[in-house]
Amino acid sequence: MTVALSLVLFSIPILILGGTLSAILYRHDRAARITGCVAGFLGTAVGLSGALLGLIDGVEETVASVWRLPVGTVSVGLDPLTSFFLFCIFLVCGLGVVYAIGYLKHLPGRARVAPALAFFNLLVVSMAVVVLARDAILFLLAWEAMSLSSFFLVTFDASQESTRRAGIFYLIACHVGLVPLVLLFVLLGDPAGSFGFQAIRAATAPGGGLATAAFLLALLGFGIKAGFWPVHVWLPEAHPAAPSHVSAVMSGVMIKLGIYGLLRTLTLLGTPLEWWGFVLIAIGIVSGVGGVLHALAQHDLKRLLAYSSVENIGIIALGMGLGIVGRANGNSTIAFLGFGGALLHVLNHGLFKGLLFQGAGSVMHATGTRDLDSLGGLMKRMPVTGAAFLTGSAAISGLPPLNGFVGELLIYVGAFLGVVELPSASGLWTLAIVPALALIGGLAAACFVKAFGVVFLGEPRTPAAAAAHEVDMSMRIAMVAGAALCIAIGVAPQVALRLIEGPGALLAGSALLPPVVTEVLSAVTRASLALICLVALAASVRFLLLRRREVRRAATWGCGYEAPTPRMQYTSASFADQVLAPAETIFEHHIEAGGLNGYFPRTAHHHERLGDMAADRVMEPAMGLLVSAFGRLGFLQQGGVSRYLVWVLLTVVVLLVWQLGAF
Amino acid sequence: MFDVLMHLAWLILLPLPMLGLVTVVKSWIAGRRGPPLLQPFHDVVKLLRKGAVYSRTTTWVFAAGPVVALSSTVLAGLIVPMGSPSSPFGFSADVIVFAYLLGLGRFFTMTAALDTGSAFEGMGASREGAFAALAEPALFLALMILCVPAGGMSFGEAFAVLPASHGLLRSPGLLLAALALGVVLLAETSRIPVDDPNTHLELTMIHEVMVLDHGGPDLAFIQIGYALKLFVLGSVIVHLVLPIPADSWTGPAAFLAGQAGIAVAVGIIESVMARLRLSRVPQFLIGACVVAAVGVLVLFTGGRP
Amino acid sequence: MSLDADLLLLLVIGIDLFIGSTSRLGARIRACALQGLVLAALPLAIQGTGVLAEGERIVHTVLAVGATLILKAVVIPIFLLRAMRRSGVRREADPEHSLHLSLLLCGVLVGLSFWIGAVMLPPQAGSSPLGVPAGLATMLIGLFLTISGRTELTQVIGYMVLENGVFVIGQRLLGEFPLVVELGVLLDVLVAVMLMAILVVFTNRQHEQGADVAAETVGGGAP
Repeated sequence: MTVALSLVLFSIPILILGGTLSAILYRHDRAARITGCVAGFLGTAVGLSGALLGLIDGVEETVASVWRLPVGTVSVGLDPLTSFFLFCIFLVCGLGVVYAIGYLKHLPGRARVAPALAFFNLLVVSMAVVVLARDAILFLLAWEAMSLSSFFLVTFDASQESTRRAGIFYLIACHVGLVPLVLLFVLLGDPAGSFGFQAIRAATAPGGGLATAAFLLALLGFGIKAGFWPVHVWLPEAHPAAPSHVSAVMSGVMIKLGIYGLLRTLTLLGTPLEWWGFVLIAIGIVSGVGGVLHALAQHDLKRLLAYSSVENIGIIALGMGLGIVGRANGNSTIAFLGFGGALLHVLNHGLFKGLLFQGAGSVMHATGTRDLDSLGGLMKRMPVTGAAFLTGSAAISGLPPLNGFVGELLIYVGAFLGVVELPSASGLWTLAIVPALALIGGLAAACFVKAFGVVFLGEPRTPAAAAAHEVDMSMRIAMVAGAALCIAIGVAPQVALRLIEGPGALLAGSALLPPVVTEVLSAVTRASLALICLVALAASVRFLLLRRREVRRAATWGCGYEAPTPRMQYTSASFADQVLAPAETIFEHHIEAGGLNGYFPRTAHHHERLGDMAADRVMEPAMGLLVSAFGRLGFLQQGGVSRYLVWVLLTVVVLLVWQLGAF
Repeated sequence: MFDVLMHLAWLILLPLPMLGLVTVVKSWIAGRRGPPLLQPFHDVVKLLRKGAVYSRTTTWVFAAGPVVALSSTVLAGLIVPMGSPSSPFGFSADVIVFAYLLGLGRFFTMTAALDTGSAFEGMGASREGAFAALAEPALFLALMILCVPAGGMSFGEAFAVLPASHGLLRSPGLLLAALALGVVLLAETSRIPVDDPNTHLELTMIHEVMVLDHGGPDLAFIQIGYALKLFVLGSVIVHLVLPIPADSWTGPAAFLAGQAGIAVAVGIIESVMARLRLSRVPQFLIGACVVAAVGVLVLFTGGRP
Repeated sequence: MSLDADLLLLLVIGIDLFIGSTSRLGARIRACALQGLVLAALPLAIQGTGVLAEGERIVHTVLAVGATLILKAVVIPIFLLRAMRRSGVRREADPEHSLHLSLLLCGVLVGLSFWIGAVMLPPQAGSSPLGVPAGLATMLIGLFLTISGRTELTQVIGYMVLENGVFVIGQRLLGEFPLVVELGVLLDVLVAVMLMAILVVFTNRQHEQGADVAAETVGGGAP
């Protein structure tokens, strides 16, 4: 076993031990917190070094376990794709643990710390095992462990009705998503005669009906976890309910395991068919645009971030679709640009979305609310959180010189090359990526200007916001580290290239790194450095100009009105209104207002809610159909045990007859 | 070396007079004499020599807005070729970096606007965000049309190929790209029919209302950045419309004439058109997107190089 | 690839998009007339590439151009404008944002027709590659306008656009100008417009105005 794999595997007992210890110390919050966090930090650090080593050395190995399940040996392994996702998992989770040290210090109510850490460590372990697994059984077991541990984290604050609802919703979504996955592996494992990935890869003919069926099943099952439109509906419910260090991890890496699953399935299926790529591009466009539009419409900071995850998953899907189109056409440059861009965006989104969720957590911590229109003016009260949140906002809008730009740039370049080099029919599809990505970028910028501006800028809208304070040191460290990484990747993307080189080549099916990638990335460095220099220059010019001059402070200009109140500020709803106006036809817009009567109205109220189009118009009717269909089966369930036993007996008999009849 | 110096000289000297030219043209058409060509320059100098008044609400984000907006536009200006097919700071994929630099400037202008806590600025930022998001696809599609004949995503490659293969009138795709870019220019620089730079009512403004609270050097930075944006987007269109050769004298001359032509065109449009109602602006921009998309399709059908 | 034909066909698409994006009936009708004008110029641009030398074709061309010009660009638009004034409907009664959607949809239809053109009917050598897509796009947008029209008048305009598309595509597919086809098309248009215009007047009489005004329109419009 290589050092890399041993390090990664070694991190698992550390995490489990720490988690268990903290669960044992249930009654002693401080001790539980310290054990859980220290073990979490150690475990992720060890795992991170293992993953990094694996990436740099390009380790590829598979180890079969000593313990056996009835269905066969269980094996784990390391290859560049696994190492890359391990790197993302341990990095984001490590930052999450650092954040949790301070975050869990002051919990609202009488909640105990231990579950928040024990299940967190379990979540990290199960995510690591998901990507390490080299056979379907272990994969599905870890997948289920991941779902369950995150379910317990989502329902951490179970005293609230809304949280319990969100938890149940999430649990159902997870298990609905599991069904296609079980089907997928049964389908693939049956002809292979084994559930090992190696055997499946050898037995599956590329491009056949089986491969197509497998792809579609994977798209559904992993799509639910990743949050593709329209099966993203669980995301905006579950993410806001979880504690912030958990939402950061769930949104930052857990949903990316859906992407990992899809990519892993692709490696099992050999050369993909071109139309799979078209499907992913279409999904990407719809998820991206739909996600960001819904994000804009939100008034709850964490819901906004959750919808923005749907948008970013859409961008990743665009990259994957591009990669598949390139691969199917035998163009490894385009394939690398597509897959590489998608992978880079996986890492980048983990970083900045983690950072933003942590920022949202800090805001909640300081003010007790996530409602955008109750916040404001926090920049003065929480300068570090504010600066980190600003960095994250600019990064998620894909602006240079930050990391979000780099991943999108690779996808842009790949799409352009697709237009130039691929045949017309494929070229048109890759062409569609360009305006979609541009539109998504523009809307995301508007969305995060709104989020940052309404929360941190202007005047506080409530006393709670006015009384806000900067958060604990550890939380600040985690956020600043995240922001620093965002800047670092933006300025020196070559470093990140080292990380995606291996998995990108694996997915693109060619070991050669296309020269255009290094060329483009070094150009990014030049541009970023030039930009930073220019900003510094302009700032110092401004400083020199103002040094000897009179600089006064006054009230904001209001056409001569000298007593503006915070309530006069633009709210998040009014900001979003203009942007959403052209898209109004696709929203269910519920407005409930009244009270503005007479010349001197006393009280007035205005309440508006934008429904989720996918939930209202796709999932709801679909679920309605399903419920009425299952209603027909109601005769099966009548409450008598003997009746149930009859069904069991019947099933056994039918199965026996069917199986024996086949011989 | 000469090329670089000339590029820098133009970047420094020309944007403000170009803005002045627009005003002069508008005055002429209205039958007035108009301010001198260098009026914007005098304005900026005056602002640079002033002190500043900051709102008590604002933080460093407010001061960062003009600084970042100006420097990102300057970098965009260094990327775009001016009068010769290459630029001092061109690199591969600079077309996308160019578009995103404009986005960066906008992002910080919008955050700075929200930092004042005034409803006016919030309104402006919201409108800017909405319209910029719709203009973005048109910009990217138009830039795409520009780059496809060359097969590379940099202005240098694109403009080196354009004059040789076909000028504007030889290719309908390029014509549509120029049209879409024209709309993007009007939207990005907040000119009529998207926004009226001379309006006096805060409630109807877009760009002007976002920068209401800036004064002194900050406002000067904003004015310079604004003029630069017009100049930079203008030079993309000029290179697209006029096949500018790599020659050291005819190229720059054609470029100057083209920029003047754009200033005149903007002036004429402002004189003969009214501002669109705010709710109609999205349609104008969507129209530009569709036009650019048709341009790309035409390029596809016309046989790709 | 003939330049003039390309630009003219582009103009045809542009007019389609304009019609799809405006709600004012007068503007739509005038744009339709302009499209008729462009269509009339189209045979000239195409014949100009080389077939013009044959004597018989000149007569053909002149006849076709003249007929198109008179019918599509003058007679029918005037007729429609008059019907509009009589009926008093100036605007398509639609909320603002559905216009965004309609414009976007028109864009999608244009994209679709380019795709169909590329896949099904590859351009022959010597003819403009835009012919088939432009014709298809005009037909599809015309169909869309006819379907989505809320008033009879807008439906007639949509139908006109549709016929323009048939004109373009017929010309492109056949490569030349058989008089029979052309006359058939024109006849189609004429009959349809008459029928629908009478319908407009008929409903108006029922709903709004007095019977005398309507009778006058019928008398003036269908000699």
